[in-house]
Amino acid sequence: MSVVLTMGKISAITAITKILPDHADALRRTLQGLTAANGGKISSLGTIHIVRWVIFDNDTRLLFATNFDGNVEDYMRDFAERAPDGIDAIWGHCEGYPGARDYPKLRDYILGSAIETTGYYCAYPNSTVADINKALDWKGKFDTFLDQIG
Amino acid sequence: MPAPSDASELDRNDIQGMAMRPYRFPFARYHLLDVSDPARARRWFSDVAGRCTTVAGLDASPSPGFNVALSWQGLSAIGTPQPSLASFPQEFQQGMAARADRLGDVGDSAPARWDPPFDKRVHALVVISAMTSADRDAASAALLSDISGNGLSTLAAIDAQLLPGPDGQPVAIEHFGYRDGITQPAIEGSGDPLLPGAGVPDADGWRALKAGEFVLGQPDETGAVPDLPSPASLSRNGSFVVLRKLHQHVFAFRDFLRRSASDETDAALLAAKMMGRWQSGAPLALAAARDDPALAADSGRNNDFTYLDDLRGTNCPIGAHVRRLNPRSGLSGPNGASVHRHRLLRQGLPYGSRLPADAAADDGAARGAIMLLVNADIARQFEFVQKVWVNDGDFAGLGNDKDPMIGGNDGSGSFTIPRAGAPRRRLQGLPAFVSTRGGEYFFLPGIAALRSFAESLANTAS
Repeated sequence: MSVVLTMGKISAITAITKILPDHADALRRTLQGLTAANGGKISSLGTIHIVRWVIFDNDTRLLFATNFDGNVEDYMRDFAERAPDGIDAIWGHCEGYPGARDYPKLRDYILGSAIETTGYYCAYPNSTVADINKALDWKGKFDTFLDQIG
Repeated sequence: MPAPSDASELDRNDIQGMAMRPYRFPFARYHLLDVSDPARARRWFSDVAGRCTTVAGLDASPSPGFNVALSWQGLSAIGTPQPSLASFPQEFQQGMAARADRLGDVGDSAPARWDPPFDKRVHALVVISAMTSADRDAASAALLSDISGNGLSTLAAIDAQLLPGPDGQPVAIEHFGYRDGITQPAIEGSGDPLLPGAGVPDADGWRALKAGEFVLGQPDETGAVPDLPSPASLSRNGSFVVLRKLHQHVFAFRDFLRRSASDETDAALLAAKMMGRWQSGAPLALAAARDDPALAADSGRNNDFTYLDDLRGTNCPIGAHVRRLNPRSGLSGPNGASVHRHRLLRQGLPYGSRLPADAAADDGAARGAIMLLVNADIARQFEFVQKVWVNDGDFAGLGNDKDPMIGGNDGSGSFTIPRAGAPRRRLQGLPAFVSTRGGEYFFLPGIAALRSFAESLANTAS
């Protein structure tokens, strides 16, 4: 079994953690704030295609599911380097969370709470977030150019 | 347990010199050893602790240099207790060969093709560094007579030295013909002068990297002291040394330049674009149009740039070798935020003889470089650089391009050269110009740790 499935350059991971008693409301506010304004800090990480958090089981558990570019170890480590406060602000509401500043412990925590991805398909397995944004930027510029000469 | 504030007091007499200072010795011999008798070997390591070249010692009596490191198998072979062995990082426990897929050591570079002694597990590395070959020979002979009867045997000894220049004197020019060893990370407390460009660019110019990026038990670039392997008395003031034996396909490199370039001037330009420096050492960041030997020779200027004014890479391509290995401020976007967490101190020298300039074919001779890459965290530093910066292009929007000089290309590699006012030029069909021929991960203990091998390990083992 593998908790990380990869297709081309893109990987998927799904993790479930237990929310600390009475922390669900604060966690809910954090997640809504974090993902507001076009992804904010998350989009600035540059390698996350899609991320979803779901609070379920009567406010007792948190599901985290994401699709990202590259190898899980390299990129989780880099997130921990660049955005430790953001990671703390989420999983700090969960049981057993070791903090983002000790990378090996963070890795063991996230991978240890990950569940098997049973099936995985991606329509653009060899296109990174940067590739896609760049292509869309070019298309926009080309359309503008066509508008101008038309 | 000292508090972090105490830990930041560097004891330069307790840290082996190669952990913090780039060695400038023209000659080296790398002795690879096997442990046959744990108790005697422990005593030997303990006895030679005082002989090791320390950071402070480099200023006092620099030659010959003597440094000792052990692989995880070596720590195990001398009887290091299991809880301590298990506290070392996973990649160090596994060793370099087991990490081949991550490192791109596949195909011609695969461990199955490595030279002896790297076809099996090596226990220890003793590096003799010297100013003359006679000094090197004498120190090596003394070492070999010393280890016999001390529970150690020699598996191999690899000679490496600067190649002779036109006048026969050694020069710092590697086999492909480039001046080598210009860029090294400046490290706080190393005692080396802070040259412009050597550390981290900041508002006031340049600052040195925190010692914890290279020495265990010191604060690193996060400001904190990471957890140490246990016991701290073994790991503090230690470091990790990545040994790579890299064969260089010199004829293939020259042939590729000839085939790809329109004339000799263009070949020199392509060689500069691939490296990021002209063969003289002058950086494209400061000398984009033509070589500038005077700039190359000026250590106050030849490294003083950030790429911040060249984010598109029209002067120095984003995929050029030296820009990949040290992106400075030249990575726009999120990947630029953590570049200083992936720095390496490079020790190393060429082995083999220079391929004559007029060679009409590959002569089949073994030649290349023995690289010793020093870092505090092999996975975060060396392995990240090798996997993300050398053997991939996505970190910088370069798609599948790999490092044109040392990347694991297979004959279908590409290299992109952005140009101002003209479409980008792309070199196609790149083969590998470098193949891995061996290597291992070693732990470079502090002096007090080495000295304690005899007693502490013996006590725990009994």
